[in-house]
Amino acid sequence: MTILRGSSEVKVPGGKLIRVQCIVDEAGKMLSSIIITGDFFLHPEEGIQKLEKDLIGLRAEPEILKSHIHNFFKKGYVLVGATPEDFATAVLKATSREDQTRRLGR
Amino acid sequence: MAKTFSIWRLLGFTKNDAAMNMAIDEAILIGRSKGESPNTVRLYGWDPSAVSIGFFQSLDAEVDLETCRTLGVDVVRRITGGGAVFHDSQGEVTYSLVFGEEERVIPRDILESYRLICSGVIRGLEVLGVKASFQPVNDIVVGERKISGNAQTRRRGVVLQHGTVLVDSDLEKMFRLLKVSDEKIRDKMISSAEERVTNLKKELPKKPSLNDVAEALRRGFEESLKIPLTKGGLTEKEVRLAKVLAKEKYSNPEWTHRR
Repeated sequence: MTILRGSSEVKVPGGKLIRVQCIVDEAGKMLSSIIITGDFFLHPEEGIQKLEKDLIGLRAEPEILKSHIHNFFKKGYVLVGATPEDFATAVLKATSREDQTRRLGR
Repeated sequence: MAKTFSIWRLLGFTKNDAAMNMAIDEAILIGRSKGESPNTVRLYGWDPSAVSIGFFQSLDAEVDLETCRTLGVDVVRRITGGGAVFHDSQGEVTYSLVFGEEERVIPRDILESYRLICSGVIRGLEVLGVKASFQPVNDIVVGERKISGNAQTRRRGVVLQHGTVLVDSDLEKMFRLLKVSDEKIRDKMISSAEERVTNLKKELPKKPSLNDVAEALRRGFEESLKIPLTKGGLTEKEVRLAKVLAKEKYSNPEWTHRR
């Protein structure tokens, strides 16, 4: 199996940082691992694990990931210091940027 | 729902290690949610010096663990979001506020509640002779330079906000312990990360003692939030719970290294 390891760092206007590290299974173009870190605020905090878990298994396509992230934040989670769009930007950047990905394994 | 308390308790300035400091804040939060602890303003310091990181931060990305070990600096993960902070044992005062979400003196809206609680810190700084202002979302600045960072969580109907006032932090040490993002510096168009931060020693002719700063913060909260504070201590239950949390959660590598 060939995988792509991606990462991104997005600076939100006003100062917060969102970092994403992910692994995409190239064969199925499926997100197999993702971790979102940074100095933003999310209430309740445990929502971050829920979001990461929800994203795993999705096809790593911009529209799918983006709509999933936006829908997630309609479920009562409150972001402070960043917006759902910022999260989407960071995730898309990590899953797509060629210069930040490298092929590993087989 | 947590019971309403009209009396606010003041826990005067004391120093603890990082795990115990975070454990005490959480023990008060849990006690408050059960209706066993009153609304509380707590003033504290850190001994030894420590780095705290936000709930969502990657430990490895933010902290130089090797340098922390070498210099004997504690490392702890908070239950609040936000950024990494260096808590200098000789140069920093931290506060925490714990209160029921239904408390009418403080807005339910998160941003507005930051603004109001930070107005207490700003009033405290004014008492000391420093003019500072709130910079949304969660900073207090003197001019352009940050002097206080603040972070809030809301659990079980209770709000916990803690924050820090830099008095005489060893900035050089701070930037050796924390990995400052290039992106963040570039954004501000300044060459040195040190230019983004100030402290009371730099802003005042004479450096105030940590106790003076704690006393000014007490006055600031009382006046700005219009809450009369009654001096008290931790309850036996809070102490017992804090000891358990310090040992099993905040000293536990599984918690510290979880991201």
